[in-house]
Order: sequence, then structure tokens, then C-alpha cells
Amino acid sequence: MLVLTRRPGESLLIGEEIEVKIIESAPDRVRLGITAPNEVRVLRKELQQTIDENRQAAAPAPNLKNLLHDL
Amino acid sequence: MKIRTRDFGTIEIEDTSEITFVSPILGFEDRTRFVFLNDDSIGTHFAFLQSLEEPELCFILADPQAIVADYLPQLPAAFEKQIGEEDCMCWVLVVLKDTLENSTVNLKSPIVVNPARRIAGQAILEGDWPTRYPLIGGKGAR
Repeated sequence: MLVLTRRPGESLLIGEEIEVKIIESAPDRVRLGITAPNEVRVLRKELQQTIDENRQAAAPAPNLKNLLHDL
Repeated sequence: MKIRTRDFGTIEIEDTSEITFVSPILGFEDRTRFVFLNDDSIGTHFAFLQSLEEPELCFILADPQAIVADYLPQLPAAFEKQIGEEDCMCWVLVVLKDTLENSTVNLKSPIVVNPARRIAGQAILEGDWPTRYPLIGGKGAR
């Protein structure tokens, strides 16, 4: 992981078309501004993790009754 | 009404048992009408969240209180506004694997139900709750 230090107002450039700007920072949170092409999806990490876990939860699975009776 | 289910065939349910998701299950935004089903032989710690719009879509839910002590999460303010102030119930989604030992629950993103209004939503909690916590044998979530 690349670790950099930025101050509010400063930016990072990712690839040719993505900019991440630090808008403001506070002791417990940072406000970021993201400029990216429409086709690049930008998502809070926990949202993507939730989507992934939801999809796994909906996938065909062994029968719960059988698993419980094996206990 | 009669509904087709993934795990219980075609069954009869009360119209009033329908739950509407006012805040969606992420990745399944177009499915908002569900019903909770129980199976006595499985017990009260599990429930089935069956879609009324897609018979093959059904989630297995677990009672988080049976998995981690004192699961009383702080819901995000915006979510609380949507779900209402009445007493709500939390369920967690189960990812069932080949054995119970390998199965996990998502403590980070519970399904929150307001039974009085018959609405529900999936909340994403602040703080480092795990998205994959062991269904059995876990040692503490935080």
C-alpha cells in the first residue's frame, strides 16, 4: 500500500483520469472529493463488501436443516 | 396469499406478513417485498427472508444475540430516520458453507426490521464490525 501525507486542499492523481482531493480533515474523519470518469465506480469499501457478502448469502447453499441435524 | 418459496415449496401466508424494504438489501435494490418464514424444526435463532418477487431469492438470517453477546449496534442517523422510532429487531445475514463451522454472518450490515410498520432495511454500521464472523465458535466481535 502506498502511504502519503496530504494536507487539506492538496490532491492525489491516480492513473491518467482520477483525482482525489482532501477537502477537510477533522480528528475522526476526512472529507474527500473524487473526480473520475463515469465508468469508474467509486464506492465506500464497506458498501462493496456488503454487496459481496449479500451475493454470497443469496447463492445456493447446503440445506440448513441437514447441517443442524449433523450437530 | 399463496407464494412460491425457495425452500418450502408453495405456501399460504397472511397478506399482512409482507415486509417492505424501505432501504434496500445492497446489490438487490429491485427486490423490496419480502416475508419472514420460520421453520420450527430449525428453531427461533434462524429465519428465512423470502422474496415475494423472485421465488428463488431467499436469505437465511440468524439472531445476532445468539452469536455475539450484547449485539446492540448504533444505527446510522439517516437509517434511523427511515426505519422509525418503534422497537426494531436486528437479524444478520448468514453465508452458509459446507459446514456450520465454515459458515459466517455479516455483523457489519444487519437487516433491521420495524414490525410495527412492517418495514425493513439493511443498515451499514459504523465502527469495525466484521462482515464475516463465524456462525459458531466465534470469540468476540470487536
